[in-house]
Amino acid sequence: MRTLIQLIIRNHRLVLFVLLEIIALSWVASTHARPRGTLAKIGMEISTSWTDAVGRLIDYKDFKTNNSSLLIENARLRTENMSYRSLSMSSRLFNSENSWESTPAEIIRYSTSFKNNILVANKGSLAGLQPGMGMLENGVVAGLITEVSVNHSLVLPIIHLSTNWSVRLGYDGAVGILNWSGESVEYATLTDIPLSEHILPGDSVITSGFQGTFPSGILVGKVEQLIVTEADEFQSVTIKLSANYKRIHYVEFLSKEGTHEIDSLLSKSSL
Amino acid sequence: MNSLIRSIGILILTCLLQVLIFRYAVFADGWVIICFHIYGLIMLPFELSKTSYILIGAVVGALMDVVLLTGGLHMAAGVFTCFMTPWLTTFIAPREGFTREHSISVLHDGWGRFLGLSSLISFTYMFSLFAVEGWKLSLLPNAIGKGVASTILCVILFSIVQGLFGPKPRSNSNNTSTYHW
Repeated sequence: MRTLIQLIIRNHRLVLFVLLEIIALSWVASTHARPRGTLAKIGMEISTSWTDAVGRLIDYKDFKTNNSSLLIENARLRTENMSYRSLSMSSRLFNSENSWESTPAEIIRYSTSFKNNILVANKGSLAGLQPGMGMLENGVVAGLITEVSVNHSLVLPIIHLSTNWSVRLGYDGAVGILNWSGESVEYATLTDIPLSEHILPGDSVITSGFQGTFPSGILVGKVEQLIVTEADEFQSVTIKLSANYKRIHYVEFLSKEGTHEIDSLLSKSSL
Repeated sequence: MNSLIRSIGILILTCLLQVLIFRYAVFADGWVIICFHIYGLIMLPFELSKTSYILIGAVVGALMDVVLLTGGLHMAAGVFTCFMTPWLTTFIAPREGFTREHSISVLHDGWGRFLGLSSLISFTYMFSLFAVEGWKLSLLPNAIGKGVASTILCVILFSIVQGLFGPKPRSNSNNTSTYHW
């Protein structure tokens, strides 16, 4: 035991270095996989309050207020328009019993330069937002709430390495998994598409609705390129994302009545 | 002691500038970023013990992570860089070594040594930041490229700051003659 203590004392710098690196890397692992918990909340609160303070200094107050209200109104109308359009196309969506509601918000913090990017919106549980709600940007899929505080929400965008999205090719095409390769913020990869599926560049990729986060039929992106390997039974597709993460600012969060009912059913089935 | 207080002051100032201004300096799709607080780490005096270096790196990194919401990336990079700094310093040290109560400066050490140490420390920090962030062996060349690109921009910025605000030679402008007429 004494020898061990002497060894630690002798190599205290190395021990300190290893210890601090372990702390830092566990922090990285916990926040970059799926930021949840107290640490994420505290970080978000400090960061957003700081950003708010800086933002107040640099924004033209009146201009900002007018512009914000106009754009939020625009976002709300676009969502409404989208829901009516879906209703006319298929009565299974957006009917009065199973309606989706949108909450407009503003993105106040974002990163697009990392492999695990995150966004912070200026609304939280006080505005009725909850983890698991989907986020639209200009009417297209952009992200998913992972954590909420009273006034802010932490959102995982599509451009995050550890997220998977259930999407469909066109309105009656195959369902596949969309994930981001970490290379360009404009492109993601759709996998698990059977070779028999006939795909052309420019085809729409929409939400499947299976995740319960978005209604089906919301645009995610367009097919850019097909990747077929002879050894595989499935093909991969490069998708050009419709959400513009470089200019993201005003967004809408979608919530649906009856989600808790479905969640409780799913949790029962898993028991 | 004075040099230590001055260096800590510079470190705090660089951290503030990073949080207020340079956090927004992300160019070329994230290939080039500025981490201005590295300048504060470079300016730490050589008299500091290796343990203090590591602790300062950890604290500065953790503060950056909390404020910039980078979740441990800066802390990992800061600790690694400060662990390596004493070893990196030996590459550019003069034959007789650095004076203990001394921070690197262009005036005392010349541009060559300043640029050398700045580049080595910046690259170590940037590379570890991007390598941890990528977390995949396949993204390691990517991390090297990003590290080099960001280091170039940071070193240019550090040189400008050093040229503008670094120690200046004392001008001997007192023209009073000592010749006793």
